[in-house]
Amino acid sequence: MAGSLELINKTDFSSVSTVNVDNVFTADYDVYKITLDTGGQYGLLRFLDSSGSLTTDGAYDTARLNLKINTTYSETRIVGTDVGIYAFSESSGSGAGGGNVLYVFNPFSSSSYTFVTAQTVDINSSTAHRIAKTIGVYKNVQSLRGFSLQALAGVTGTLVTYGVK
Amino acid sequence: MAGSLVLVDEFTVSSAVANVIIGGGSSGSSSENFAIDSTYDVYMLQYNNLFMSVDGRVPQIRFTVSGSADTSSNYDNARMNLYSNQAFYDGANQNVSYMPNLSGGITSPESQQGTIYLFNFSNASEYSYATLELVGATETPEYYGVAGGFVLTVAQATDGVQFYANANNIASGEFKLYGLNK
Repeated sequence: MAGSLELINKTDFSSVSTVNVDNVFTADYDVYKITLDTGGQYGLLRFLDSSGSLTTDGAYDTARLNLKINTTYSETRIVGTDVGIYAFSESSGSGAGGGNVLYVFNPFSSSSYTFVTAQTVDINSSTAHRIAKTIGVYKNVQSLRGFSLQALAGVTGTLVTYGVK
Repeated sequence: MAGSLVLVDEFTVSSAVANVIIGGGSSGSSSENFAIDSTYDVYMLQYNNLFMSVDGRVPQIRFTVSGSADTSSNYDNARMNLYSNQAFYDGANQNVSYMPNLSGGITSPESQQGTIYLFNFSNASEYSYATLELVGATETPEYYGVAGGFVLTVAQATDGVQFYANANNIASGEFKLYGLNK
């Protein structure tokens, strides 16, 4: 039977704080896998609407468990913000880097909210590594066609988008 | 080069059912008659748009042995439940008869979706292990996730996964099982 993980888009970027990956969500897939091989300062996931514009409504929720090697675990809980889901790693400091795997459910649907799960690893100072488990939701039923990585400072890396079929 | 994530079974609930079996051979919900075996070492089960027939019902999870759910009290689990609107809480159980889950609802957005990796299922001399990460909304709705894992502490071959409603039915949902090429 047919079905696999299908490469949709690979976007390389260098020293930028915003990366838009447009026209990747279609009716061909319900579920998408996104990988990012680096970290960005406060890397947010924000969606592009059906005309390719950044969503501006306060419809993003995040729940994030931060597992830190050098201190107590912490929680991030954010409801109804317009800045996006705190889904990507939040690297900063010397040697900053990270790894990210996200699943996005139903972004193209015009009858369902868009749900996200993410697992990330990063470095948030010169020595403090962090693993994060994140879930998020975009609480609007509009169809989305792409996404944006938004960071506080310039980052370099590669975003890869797959369709899970 | 052939793809490395290979779809081996899929089923869409189009009318309410008490349970869904993915894999499980001829006892499975689909007509694929696929049973998890040693073709792949690791399998990935992904589900989406899972709704219950009654608000507050819980989709619980078990493994199958020769197509039948193993209902023994030999499941252990540990998990963290994440909420966007309240403090997280962890949970763990030993020797229970299923993998616990959070409740769902009957209309959008009260759905649940997630990814489960399955390990050692075909190995009759090992326990069957799974990692789980899911996201969804309760009937309130509250937006939540679960990150955890569970194990069936019986050295036996398992061949599928059962989702079942703790009461009433599963109203709808899409389930896909993939093998990860060796």
